[in-house]
Amino acid sequence: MIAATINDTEVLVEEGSTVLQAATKYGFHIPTLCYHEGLPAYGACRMCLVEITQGASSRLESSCTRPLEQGMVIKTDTREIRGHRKMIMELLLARCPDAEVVQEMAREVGVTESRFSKLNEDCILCGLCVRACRDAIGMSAISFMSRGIKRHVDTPFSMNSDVCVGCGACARVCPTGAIRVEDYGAKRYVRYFNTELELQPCEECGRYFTTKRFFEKNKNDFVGADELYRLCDACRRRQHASMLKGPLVNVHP
Amino acid sequence: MKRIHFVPNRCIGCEECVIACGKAHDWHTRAFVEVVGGYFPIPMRCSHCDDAPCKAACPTGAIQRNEFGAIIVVKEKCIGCGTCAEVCPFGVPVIDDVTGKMIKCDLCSDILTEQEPICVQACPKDALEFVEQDEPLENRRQRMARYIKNAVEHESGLASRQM
Ligand code: SF4
Ligand code: FES
Repeated sequence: MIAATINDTEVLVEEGSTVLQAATKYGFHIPTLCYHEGLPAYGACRMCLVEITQGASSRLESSCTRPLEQGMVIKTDTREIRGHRKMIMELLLARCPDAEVVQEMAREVGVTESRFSKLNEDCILCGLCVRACRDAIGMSAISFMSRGIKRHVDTPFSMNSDVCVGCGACARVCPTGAIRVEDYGAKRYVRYFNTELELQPCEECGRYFTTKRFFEKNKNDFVGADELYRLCDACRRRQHASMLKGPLVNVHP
Repeated sequence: MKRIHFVPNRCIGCEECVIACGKAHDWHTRAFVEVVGGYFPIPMRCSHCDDAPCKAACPTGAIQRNEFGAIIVVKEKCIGCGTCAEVCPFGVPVIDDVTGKMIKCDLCSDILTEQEPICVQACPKDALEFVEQDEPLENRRQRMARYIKNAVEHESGLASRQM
């Protein structure tokens, strides 16, 4: 267990916790935009800045990536921190004026207008999609491209990805809804990444229930060649119910 | 550890359990009734498997077993990839399109200290029972014998009526 001080409260948390986790556990709210509990922290948005004092030195660090250390004295909401958060939100508001999360967060920290010239992006470069694809699914179909103001997320050379499995996790973790996954006919389109995939039909009812590549991946990783997994969820349930039916219809409660 | 058991031939397919489950979970029902062979309704839900494939396959560790032995999904950790849906042999987990997170039966863990799961409470025919999973085998044998006895009496009753 590690003991530290957050906003004048003594805290005691397990080893390996980050400053953000410790603060959240003790009910201190720290705004975040690029943090997801299921993915490794990345420190992209800098909204989670806190002031950390260790001995004589004191500095601002992103709490999502900073492991808590014995004896840290942490402040989560000083005037300086609020100033930085406002600046970040002004910049993001200029970049993505239409994104709901950005507007909401700007309101939360007290920003209504941005002094900077507006762009019309929908991506805030939080990297959640990249982490979901690389660290959770293990496919690395997408990643950050270019530098500076040209930085964006894409597949290599912006081409139809041949490793993307079309699971849709990128779209589901994206806080701004920039990525959309759509199914038309026998194809799944991940438009933001110029990628299209073939869908896998259920062997029983013919409904498309996943992509061929995701199906193959899960077959290799987890389920093996069992016939059952070629069915959609509804047909799997029906299959099981009919297996139960045999022995059960002849007994009466 | 208690689990929901299904008592054969009591279910009438009214789907009260499905509706009650939906009511208790923002209308995302996690209970199903499958009709097989034309007229045999069989209620289905998560089995909370001992060796749960969804829990083993979840890439972010969002699927966990809680203190009631239920397999639950930790919303904050779920990234909505749908691997669980693909590896579950019972077709239980589904990804909710609105929140982008998986939803499944949580055995009503929030009310479990005081009440039985909502589907068990709602069933008008007592076709669902919330029973101790590791009940003595003796009891199970006796229960099964009772079912069979009833079945035999039922059959012979039918036979005598026909004569
Ligand atoms: S596309 Fe979405 S998830 Fe990916 S970096 Fe941009 S805002 Fe984040
Ligand atoms: S949440 Fe820590 S940097 Fe974005």
